[in-house]
Amino acid sequence: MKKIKELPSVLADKIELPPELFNSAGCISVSGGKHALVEGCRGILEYSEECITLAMKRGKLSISGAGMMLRAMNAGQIVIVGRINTVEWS
Amino acid sequence: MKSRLINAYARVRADVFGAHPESFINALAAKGTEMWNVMRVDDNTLSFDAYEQALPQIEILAEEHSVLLKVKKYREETRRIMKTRYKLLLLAVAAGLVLFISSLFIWQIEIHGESRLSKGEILRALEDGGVYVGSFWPAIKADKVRGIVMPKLPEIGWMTVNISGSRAVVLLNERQPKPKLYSEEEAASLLAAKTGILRRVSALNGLELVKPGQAVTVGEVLVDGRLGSVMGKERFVCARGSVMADTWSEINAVCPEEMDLKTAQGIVRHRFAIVLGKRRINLYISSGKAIDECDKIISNKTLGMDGHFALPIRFVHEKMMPYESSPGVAYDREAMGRSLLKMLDKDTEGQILQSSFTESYAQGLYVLTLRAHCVENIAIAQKLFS
Repeated sequence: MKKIKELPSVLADKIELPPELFNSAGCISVSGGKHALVEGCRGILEYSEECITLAMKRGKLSISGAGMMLRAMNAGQIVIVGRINTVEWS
Repeated sequence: MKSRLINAYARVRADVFGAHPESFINALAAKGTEMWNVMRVDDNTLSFDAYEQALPQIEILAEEHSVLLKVKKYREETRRIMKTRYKLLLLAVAAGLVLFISSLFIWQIEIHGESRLSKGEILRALEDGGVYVGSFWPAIKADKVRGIVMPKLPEIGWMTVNISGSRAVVLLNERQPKPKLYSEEEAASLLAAKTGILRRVSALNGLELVKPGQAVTVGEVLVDGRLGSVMGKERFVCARGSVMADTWSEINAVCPEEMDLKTAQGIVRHRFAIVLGKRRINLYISSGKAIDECDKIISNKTLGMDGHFALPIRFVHEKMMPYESSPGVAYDREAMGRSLLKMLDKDTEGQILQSSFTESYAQGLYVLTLRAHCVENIAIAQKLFS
């Protein structure tokens, strides 16, 4: 079962295509350590100025830092601003 | 219209109080409700911004999730934001309008192809033809400008004016001077322009009076235009040909041994000015008089895209570098030597075989002497009857 789930990413790797085309686990883009765009997010689990934990399609994503704020949010994407120190995927 | 816009864009600030307010935010996002600036107020409260239009949906969801909703409307804020947006829009429209109107006028004139004529002369003639900084370019006709400028400047053989954006590009070709034509009617002899020893005499017309190996002095007749005849009268022709000879030249360059030289001293001062069209606005208080004993470097920068488009705004930067005069060695041997060689090259109708320099000092003067051995054509035409 695990192998079937990983099949798209293995396939993407083999035919040299961007993994985000097949991978539904989520995607995070951080620019300048001050702005993060999270795609494939299912919701907020924990929200504070120091740590924002998001539920992803596979696992959890914790973004830690200072003065963090949720700038905008819709069904699949979240924009976080503030000083981003660490990004942890679990 | 305005109130409708404000209704559409009116914002609210909502505080959500509950055991887990994040789940309410998730539900809002899942429903597709637009919200932004989500902030943590305390352990059980989150606040966010949303549109007033979405308020009924937010209230229904709040009831479903059993959270307490406290809403604060701020229409004034919306009005302020809308006003700012209006102003920005107006500013953009005004800027576009100014850009469009200014592009109908000429703010930069570029001249290409001039060599003997000065830019000033050409610009003055162009101004008479209606091409000047600030002129309305749709009214400019290249044929009309050509018709006015070319009679004023007979040195111009052909010209055209191309308009590109607010730049006028003037392309011109100067008339080539007519070559000197030898008239068979004008009888002339070839004389020696320099003293030398002849290497080769080649007369195309006239009577050779000299032979290779012979030494000649300045003014000596080399090829005669008078052709004697045993049977009839003397004939006169225009002597032509070349007479190559070994010549020895000596040129001196004289320079004072010492003179006042500039040494950078003091603080470099900068002055700025803006030129709007033809009006100059100085961005400094002091007068335009330059400081004594000061080098002034002026650089101009026209606003726009280089080679494509120019705006009627030009920035002027004046850099004033004070200096102090102090006596020092005035001459530069290398530069003087280069100048002497250049002069000799210009003066020689052949090639320089050998050259050497000698230097001497006399009465506070430095003298650099160039001695050269050349092979050149020394023949010059001299009319027989003036």
